[in-house]
Amino acid sequence: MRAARPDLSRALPGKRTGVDRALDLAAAGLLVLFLAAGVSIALLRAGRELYLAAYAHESPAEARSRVYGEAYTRAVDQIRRELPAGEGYLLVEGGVPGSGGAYWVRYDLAPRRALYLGRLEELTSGSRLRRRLGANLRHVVVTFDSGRPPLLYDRYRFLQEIDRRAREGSRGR
Amino acid sequence: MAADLAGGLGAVALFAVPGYGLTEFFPTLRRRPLPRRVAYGYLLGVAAVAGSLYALSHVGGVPLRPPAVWATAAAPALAGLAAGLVRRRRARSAPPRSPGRRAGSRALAADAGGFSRAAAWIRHLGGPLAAACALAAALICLGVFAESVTNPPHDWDGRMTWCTQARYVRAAGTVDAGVLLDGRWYITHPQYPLLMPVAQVAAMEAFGADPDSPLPRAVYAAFLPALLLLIYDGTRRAAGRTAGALAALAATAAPFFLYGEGGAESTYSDLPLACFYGAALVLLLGPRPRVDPGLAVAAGLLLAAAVLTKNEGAVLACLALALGWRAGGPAGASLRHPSRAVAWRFAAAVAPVMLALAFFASWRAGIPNRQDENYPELMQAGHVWPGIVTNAAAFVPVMIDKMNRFGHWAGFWWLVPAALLAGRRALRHPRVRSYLAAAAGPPAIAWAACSIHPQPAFLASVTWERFLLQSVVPLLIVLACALAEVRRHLVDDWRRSPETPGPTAPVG
Repeated sequence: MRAARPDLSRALPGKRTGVDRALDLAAAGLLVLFLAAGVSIALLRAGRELYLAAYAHESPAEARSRVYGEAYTRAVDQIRRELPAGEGYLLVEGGVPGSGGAYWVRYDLAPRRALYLGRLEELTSGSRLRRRLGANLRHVVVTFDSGRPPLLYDRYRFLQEIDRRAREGSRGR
Repeated sequence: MAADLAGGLGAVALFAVPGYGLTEFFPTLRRRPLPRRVAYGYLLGVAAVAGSLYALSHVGGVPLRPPAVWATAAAPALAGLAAGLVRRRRARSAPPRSPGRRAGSRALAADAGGFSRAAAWIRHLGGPLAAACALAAALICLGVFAESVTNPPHDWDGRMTWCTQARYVRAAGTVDAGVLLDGRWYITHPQYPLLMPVAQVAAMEAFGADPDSPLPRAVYAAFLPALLLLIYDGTRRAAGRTAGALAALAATAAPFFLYGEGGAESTYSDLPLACFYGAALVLLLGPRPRVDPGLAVAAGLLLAAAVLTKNEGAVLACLALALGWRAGGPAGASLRHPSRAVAWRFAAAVAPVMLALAFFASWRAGIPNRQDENYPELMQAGHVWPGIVTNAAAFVPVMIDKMNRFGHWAGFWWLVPAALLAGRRALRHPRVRSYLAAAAGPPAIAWAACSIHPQPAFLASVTWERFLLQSVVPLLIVLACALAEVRRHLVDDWRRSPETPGPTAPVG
């Protein structure tokens, strides 16, 4: 049994004016321009991607280095080695808010669980921060803007670093 | 490259083969030509395999490990194979029917030589223009697939939400991972539905892939050809084969659909949602659903997948069901009990959606929400009115700016109003109006969200284009109908012009 194929685009005939004809020509012209521009861009890009893929002989690690940056990938791999997969860590955002740096590091370190401590510039007292910490996590990862390598600290060293920065800040004032 | 390609193809086959098996149970899908059947099969496969694993993990505590993945994928594939064998055996034992159109065209193709066979294939596609569109679209899809299997995820939400959740779920072996259930851990959008992350986990577990492998990206890239084929399927029935081919090509011409944040090269859930929603609409609003109740079940499964893909999927599923109910209502007069048949068909489509909604509510009930917009609270706080009007001044310019970006849309949004205005008479058809209403659904959700959000301009800047992507299937069907009307006007004008030498070839 064949499906009925009503042509939905076939509309009732009506009186057409010069404005209608101009609109028809405008729509047809825009369609041609859109397809010519969009398809040629897409075809060129597809050709480039196929060429690059055909000559790519990379491991996943090499591909990550190329896309995310060598220094960043090296730092992430180093943290992965030091931080077991089942362990959590304290995440501190040192980059510009909205740069995505904290998200990318959290993704790259998953399935290690992250507990967000806050923005680095807002952490001004090691002792206050120590009191705030509920979870007994031994490591702190500080992230920066997109592409900049993250830093791994022992919690004790990080709290010292916070105090040192606070002292330097007050002396500077 | 070869290993990446094989891994990517394996990941796609993990869903396409079971889905293809499932199409055996839906006669209308089974009779579709192979590429379109595979496209629907792929969508049904992701819905069935990832959806089943999601449910089994939460409800039955089944670990998301290779035995569960392979069993879930094998069951529909083997069931489809068995059903296909039984059907063929029955067909062989049944008396031969008069040779149909398909047998005739096959014989014609078999008699012809290589060149004539190619010509017959081009004719079958709808002519040289349609064949060129198919070739260009295939090349573009290959390019997207090649990029996907050779690069790690590099988009925003993919790494912020979807891929991160997939890693947590894979490590825990359950969709109820401790990191989601414990409110202390830093998770963005922890209550977002996990169908696509579970699909990632299934692909990774099935092939024992390295966590850094780009293999799951192939699953997302494969949604692009599925999208193009179902646009072709819906448009071809509404406006003809050439219009269908051009509409499918138009989906590849807008850069955002391919490379945008949410497009085929990303790991967002927007393109999958666009496919599930669009495919269900084509099945519900197409000309066949009244005589094939199985199609309603297929549409229901696709809408259930939409519910489990993104939060707005629930709203879109309800909209699609309402439009499907309207389209299948009064015209069922040829059946003996039209109202009862329509009600059964509607129930068949609604049941999977209801199950998905209940399951989703059960899963998210145990997850404390954090790092997310709290829309229910914003709605209760009474921001809807007058925000729906007053906030518009903040977010509408952002939306227009986004749509005007040539690098994102290549002028697509300049074409749409001109085409709809010029071909407005085509919009009088009830089915085209239904598609138009369906296309308006995702942008309406975005508008509502921006109206109640404390930072409407920011929200519009990061989400508006993705909502436009979600409406791509119904929108391109409407656009194709309008452009077919424009084409008819232009051909009629040309025929009537005094310089035209004589009668021309018919349009179509």
